[in-house]
Amino acid sequence: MNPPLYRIDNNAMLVFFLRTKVGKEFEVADKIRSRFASIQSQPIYFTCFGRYDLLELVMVNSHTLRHRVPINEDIIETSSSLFYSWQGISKPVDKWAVGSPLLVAVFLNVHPILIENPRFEAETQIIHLLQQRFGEDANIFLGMGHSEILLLFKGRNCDDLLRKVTDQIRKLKFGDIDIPPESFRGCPSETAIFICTTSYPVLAHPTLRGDQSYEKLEGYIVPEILIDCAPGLEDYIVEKSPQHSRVRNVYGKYDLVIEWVEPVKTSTFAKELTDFRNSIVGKIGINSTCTMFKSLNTGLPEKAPHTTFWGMTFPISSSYLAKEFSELSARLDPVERGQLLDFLGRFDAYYYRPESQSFFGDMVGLKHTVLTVLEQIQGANPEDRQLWQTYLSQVMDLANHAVYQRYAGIETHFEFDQHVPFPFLCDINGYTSAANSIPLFLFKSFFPEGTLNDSWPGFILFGQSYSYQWLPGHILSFQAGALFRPIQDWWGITHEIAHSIYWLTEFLETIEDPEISDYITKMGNITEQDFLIDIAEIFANWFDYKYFFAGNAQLYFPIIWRSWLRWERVWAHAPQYLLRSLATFWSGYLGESYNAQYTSGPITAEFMENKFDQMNRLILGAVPDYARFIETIRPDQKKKYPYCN
Amino acid sequence: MLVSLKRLGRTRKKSILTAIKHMENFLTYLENRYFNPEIFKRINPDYPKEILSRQLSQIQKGEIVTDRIPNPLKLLHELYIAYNAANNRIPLQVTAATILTLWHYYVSNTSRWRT
Repeated sequence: MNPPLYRIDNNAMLVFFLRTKVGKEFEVADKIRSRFASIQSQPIYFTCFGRYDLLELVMVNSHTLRHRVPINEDIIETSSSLFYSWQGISKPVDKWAVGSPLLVAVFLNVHPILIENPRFEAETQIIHLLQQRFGEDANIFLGMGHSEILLLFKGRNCDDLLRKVTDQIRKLKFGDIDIPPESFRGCPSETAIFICTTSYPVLAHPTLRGDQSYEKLEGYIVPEILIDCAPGLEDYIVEKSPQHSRVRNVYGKYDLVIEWVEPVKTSTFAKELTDFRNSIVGKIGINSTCTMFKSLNTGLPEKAPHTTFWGMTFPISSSYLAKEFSELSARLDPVERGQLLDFLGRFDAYYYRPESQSFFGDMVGLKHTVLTVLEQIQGANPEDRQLWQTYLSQVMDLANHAVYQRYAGIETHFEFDQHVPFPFLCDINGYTSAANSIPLFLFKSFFPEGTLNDSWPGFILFGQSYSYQWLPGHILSFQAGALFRPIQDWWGITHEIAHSIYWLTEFLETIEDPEISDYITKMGNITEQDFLIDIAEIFANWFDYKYFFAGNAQLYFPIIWRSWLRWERVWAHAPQYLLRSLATFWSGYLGESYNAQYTSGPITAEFMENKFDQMNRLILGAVPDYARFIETIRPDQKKKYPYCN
Repeated sequence: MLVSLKRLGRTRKKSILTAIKHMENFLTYLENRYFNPEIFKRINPDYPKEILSRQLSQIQKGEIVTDRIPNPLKLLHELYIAYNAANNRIPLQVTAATILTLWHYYVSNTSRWRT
């Protein structure tokens, strides 16, 4: 069995789901399209049934276009994602969808067992199968979040398209794809390939597309419209509701439901829904509508056998944790204790769910951190206890952000209704896992014994800092801007990993030579004008250079300076950074200087100048700003930094 | 233009030399006692040239590398060099193939499932 060779194409589909003020979707579409005016491919628009009102699809050939979030006063909520194209398989959606009045977007979540070892082998087989089954009517893209596959169906009959999802997609089994049964890891071949499917029918509305008309829609549907409205508006809504429908109260997030007892022509319903929304435009108190379709046939087609065989080896059992935490957290403030236990319970809930497990696995080490801190709090004096509690609170705050990011990309598809500091949540999980590969490799190489979580209790997080940062709990933060720049930027996390190793190995405490230990302690207090000696930073630079960059000076020094000079703080503390760089460079010649010191007397100024010149030669050609930077630390120009007046 | 230490001025030059000298014992300790060739070897395992060049070429064509990667960090560094990443725009398909390759590496090396 040779899986087909699939390649990523040089374009991707950007998907924006928009919830708008009632009836404003057409105006919004008109206004937001101009932000793509400069690119060759133009966005296409569909009205949505479901939580959202408008779908915008656009083919892009650059990640920077991912940031063009639409801004408009009538947009209530935006959810977006980028789907990569497979060469020869994914078709540019603007051309493929021409003439089709209807699409169904199906977000497919592949069974985690298929995602693991044979990963793309299994995925390519699944795509191959979908292509065979659905031919030209299907368009397939590659997802980075919860949904590994986005399948678009086009057609005229909504019920027919949705029935493909229920009768065919949801019934695909492991045994239907051509991979060796040993890859199933004990799962029966009847196991469903997908553990989650989410389908959104969308309409090429005549108001949005001149070439479309309601009459192009075929078949019947059984719809219902859920309405979130203020008290007192019920009669108004009843009066405006479409013919042949009835209105009932519902209880929960929504207040009313407009329903049809008999199937209604899709074309009729599409027009009536538009008329209804237009009739209530601007009415204060009507917050949103959500349209759902029920299948035409009653009940499920057959009673399928239910199989459960989930489970993952877990380093610390929940029952052990519950006992440990409840005892150890007894000295915490009751509110903090409640927050901690609530968080840990929530984390376990995500971790033990099959569809979310793989994306939370990297955070398991957090429990080691929490246990360690609670143990410290247990035996600490009041002053230290306060310090440890503050530390715990910082770690929990970061962990909440991390859970939020992972959860948003997994649980909710495009139905995440809270605004968070990081905008690209719907497809972040693939990037998070990819970024995790660097700490995984380096920590496992440094600490070869045990699991990754035994040696590194942290995890990674995007967007919680404006540069790479090593944060409390050994959490490694990637800046938001690095998300789509693995080649240009991700090398930068290794400096933070070096910091983590410095503290995890308790570097200072493990120095056996008391003379060196005493010397290092004193060194931390030495300042030569602005040349503050920061042991942890010197260590991290040295470690990064020697181990992670394998002493490759030609790569390391230009790359590090190019990165440093983007930051205002580097210009503001120029001597400090110059010292760190020179010390790192110089360390590579220590044998030389050592000999110079002990055979020919103390290191000379000439020797140092020579090394400084060598380092500069490496940097100057590659980093144009470096010469200007050096100028800033000339004594007569002190305090006149370019970005810090 | 070569920026020389001489151009920093006398006081600054003296300061930086003194600061470096203060660190000498520390750096000597790092180099002579802390640097461990075994750890270095684990972090920088053999990455045969033909494998590295094949994997680079796969990614450059938009292919996801699914065979064993000896050192994902080295792969990233080599991609940085190959594209002169500081100065050039990297094609979308190369970025995507890099991310998907690293995702695959992560998933393949952290398997937790039991059935």
